[in-house]
Amino acid sequence: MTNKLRLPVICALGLTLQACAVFKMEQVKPWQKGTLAEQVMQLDADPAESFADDHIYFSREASTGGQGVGGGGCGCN
Amino acid sequence: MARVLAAAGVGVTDYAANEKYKMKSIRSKLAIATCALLSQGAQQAAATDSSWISDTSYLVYSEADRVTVHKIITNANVTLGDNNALSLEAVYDTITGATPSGAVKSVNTVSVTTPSSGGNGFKTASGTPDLILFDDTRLGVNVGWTRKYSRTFKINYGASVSVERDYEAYGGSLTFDKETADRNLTFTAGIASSYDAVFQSSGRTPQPMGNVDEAVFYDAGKKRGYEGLLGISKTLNRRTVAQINYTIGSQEGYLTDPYKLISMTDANGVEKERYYESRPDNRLRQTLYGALVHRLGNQDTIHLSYRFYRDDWDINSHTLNYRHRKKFANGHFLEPHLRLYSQTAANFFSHSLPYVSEEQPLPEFASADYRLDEMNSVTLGTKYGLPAWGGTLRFRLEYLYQSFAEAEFDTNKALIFQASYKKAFD
Repeated sequence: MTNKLRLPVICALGLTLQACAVFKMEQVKPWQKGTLAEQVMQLDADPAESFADDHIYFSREASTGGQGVGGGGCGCN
Repeated sequence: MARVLAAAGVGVTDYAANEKYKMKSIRSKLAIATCALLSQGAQQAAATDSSWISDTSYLVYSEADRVTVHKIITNANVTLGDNNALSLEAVYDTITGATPSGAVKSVNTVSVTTPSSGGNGFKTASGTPDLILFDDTRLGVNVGWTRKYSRTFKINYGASVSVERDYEAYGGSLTFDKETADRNLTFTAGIASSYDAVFQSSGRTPQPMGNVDEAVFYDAGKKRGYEGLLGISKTLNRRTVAQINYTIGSQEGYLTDPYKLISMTDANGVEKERYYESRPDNRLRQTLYGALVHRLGNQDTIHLSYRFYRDDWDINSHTLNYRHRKKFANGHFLEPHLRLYSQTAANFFSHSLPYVSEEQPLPEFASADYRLDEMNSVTLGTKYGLPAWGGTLRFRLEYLYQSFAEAEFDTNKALIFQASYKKAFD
């Protein structure tokens, strides 16, 4: 593993372990998913906003992607 | 109950009558409850047969003294029975203003040359070759069909088209989602392919590293892209969901921006020559993305995500996103947002090319596009939402600040305003 990759991978693993430690894991039953079913609890809670943001940052930064695949490109300057 | 009985003139000591009344009351309540349940069931059945959600937005992105984009996005998600859902999305952009060309500022230039053949879409501002004027429109359409093949397995088929005066993009994607039996763990795999055509508004593309004064033009540049995704999302507990994605994408073809320029300057920074930029004809990009959604004890909801990006142009970036939604009792909410971003420069980025002699060789690749420079960026803003006309109205206002290490224009500041309205229909 290159040095450039080492730090982000360690960070990602560290964050995952922290998340597991901070957020107590439990087996969630179907009838316990009321909160999780709310729109605000979805991983993409506001697709109209994230769609617009993807376009803005795609146009103004060198990086893109991460959350999914597909979608239209543009020649935005 | 006693008050009702008394008002009806029934003696509280009349036990039999009282019991009869109670039974009748319970029967009527049960009947009402049954009717309510049945009607709710019928409504749900109707919703399962066909229902749709529309979400329409107006967005303005306005840079200080540069580009302004007005954007209209409309989206409809239609549920067709238990196993099919259709998503239709259309976006219309108008883009006006000026953007840095990559050339040094006009005070340092010795001549003014228009880099394109003009036309409706694109030309330099008179006397300011460092800025290029814009006037363009874009229409994009995305279509998605999600088909559920079993209780825990579904596939999304996606297609997209985007057309503007100087760019066309066509794409297709497949995304597979497989849940475990308890539906607390989801595995996602996706693939996508795209085909883009890029050109100046004249329909042509300049030869990369061609001198602007002796430019050679070709037909539209073409590029192909392929992308893959592997991801896991997990319900950690009844108030927390986490996701990790890995993506890899490859692009090949004309990846140069046909409008961007790079100046050759002497030791005093005065421009001697001006060239069209040149980028490698392939690019391999990878991302590692993690997200967490959590409901706090005070009923606030937080969204936290981190993305690491790297590509073989030596660009590495870190993106941290934090949203915190505060819900009020009347259905209103407030959601502050912070986004931090930093990136390293592409290995062929340069503010300008140093002039040595008339015969000096030109580099194979060079770009002064500020978006390929080392960059730090902050976005700060907030969103406010409220129920309206049976749906939800949202407004957000954000401020974007970007700073660049070497680019001729060392900052970019922009305001983002978006108003959205979402409503569900049976």
